[in-house]
Amino acid sequence: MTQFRVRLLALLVLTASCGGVASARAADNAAIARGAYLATAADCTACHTDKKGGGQPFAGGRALPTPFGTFYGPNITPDPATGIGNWSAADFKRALREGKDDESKYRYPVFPFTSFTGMSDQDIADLYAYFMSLPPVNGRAHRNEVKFPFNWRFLLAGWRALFFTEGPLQPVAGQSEEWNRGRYLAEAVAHCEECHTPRNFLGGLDRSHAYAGNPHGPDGNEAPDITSDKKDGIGGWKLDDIIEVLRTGTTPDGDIVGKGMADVVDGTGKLADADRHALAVYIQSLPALPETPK
Amino acid sequence: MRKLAHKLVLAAGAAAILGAGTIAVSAQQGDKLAIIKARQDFMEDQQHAVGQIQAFAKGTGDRQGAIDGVNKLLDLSSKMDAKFLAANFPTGTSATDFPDKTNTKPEFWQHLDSVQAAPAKLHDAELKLADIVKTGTPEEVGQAMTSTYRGSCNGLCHDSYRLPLKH
Repeated sequence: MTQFRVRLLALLVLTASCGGVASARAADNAAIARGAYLATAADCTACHTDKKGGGQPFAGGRALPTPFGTFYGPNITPDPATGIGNWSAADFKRALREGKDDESKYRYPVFPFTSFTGMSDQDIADLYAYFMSLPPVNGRAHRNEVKFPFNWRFLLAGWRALFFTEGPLQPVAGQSEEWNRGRYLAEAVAHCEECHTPRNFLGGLDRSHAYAGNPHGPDGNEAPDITSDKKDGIGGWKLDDIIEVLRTGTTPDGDIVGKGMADVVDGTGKLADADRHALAVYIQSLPALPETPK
Repeated sequence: MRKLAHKLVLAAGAAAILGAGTIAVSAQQGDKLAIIKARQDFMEDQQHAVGQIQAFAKGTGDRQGAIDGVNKLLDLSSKMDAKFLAANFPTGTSATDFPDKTNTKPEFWQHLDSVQAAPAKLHDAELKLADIVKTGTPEEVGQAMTSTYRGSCNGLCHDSYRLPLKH
């Protein structure tokens, strides 16, 4: 009888641990799925995949020319040698929240940590789970080609003091839940300001002209005014027009957006309808501003 | 007196030449503006045809309208040969020459090999689009139209040679 009880107890413990493992795996899978959704919404692949060079997804190598030099999107697959395979969840969070790498060195703001800092702890954790779930890709590391004196990384301390406010983003009281969700998606996840807001001579966002367009946007391409200005912005657009451009890239006059915005639509086109609606609500609410002068 | 008369004749002659030159330049400018207008009308015909296809994709138009649209696109792109491009995109008609009148960037004329190869590639892409328009679901047609526009209209020309449009 004692032997029977021992065996019964062992069976019960085994069943409980299998159930526990199954629950943990289900929780991991859920986090990975949420992380995949966020990575698509944030369009991580646009900077971290060398599409022109036929690179693997997220394996880095994509050149990002800026007035301060050419940067290369790093490998964010979990390869231990050339990717983030040795990064802990805390390292990953430090990168997005604080703009520092796994050795706490300042990252250049070509990596839009100034926006990603707004993400919640949960969303950052889910992104980590997703990237850690990817197949590791061993990719040749590219050295950034940063012009003097911007290659003096310690100068970033001053830049950060002037232009970086660490997050996360807090909801605005008095605004609807949907508007706040849209603001979170625009400012923390999809980081729309990083392209559509002009920058000063030091590369900091000129938030007095938030979303009023950037004549010298990514890859030297102009990013338009998306405020509610009726002449220069999208003030004449209906909400459905904004939703449609986020869904398919089609503008109200039937044109289809190109260049960097086409990549963005690859992400916003896959948002849940409610999220895309929220994002459109927020964008439509942006105060009218004339286009940034060229 | 004779010297004064001589000077007056010379001055009148110079004025006449300058005047004629100004008129000639104005006529040339006028011709170029007319050419710019004509090519914009051509592009708008293409845009209208794209709209017919998009209407079916959105559920606001029927398949016959979409088929008419893609057939129109095929017809228009078949006309865009080297002679057409030379006639409709003569030098001196860029956005630098005529700001606010045209969105064609000066780079267009710096990459004529690429420009002249584009219409044939566009036509091939439209042939594939036509197959989907004939039998695809509205969603499939919408995706195919977007993909064709991005890969061909934007990828072959607009992204490189057209200034951003105000929508």
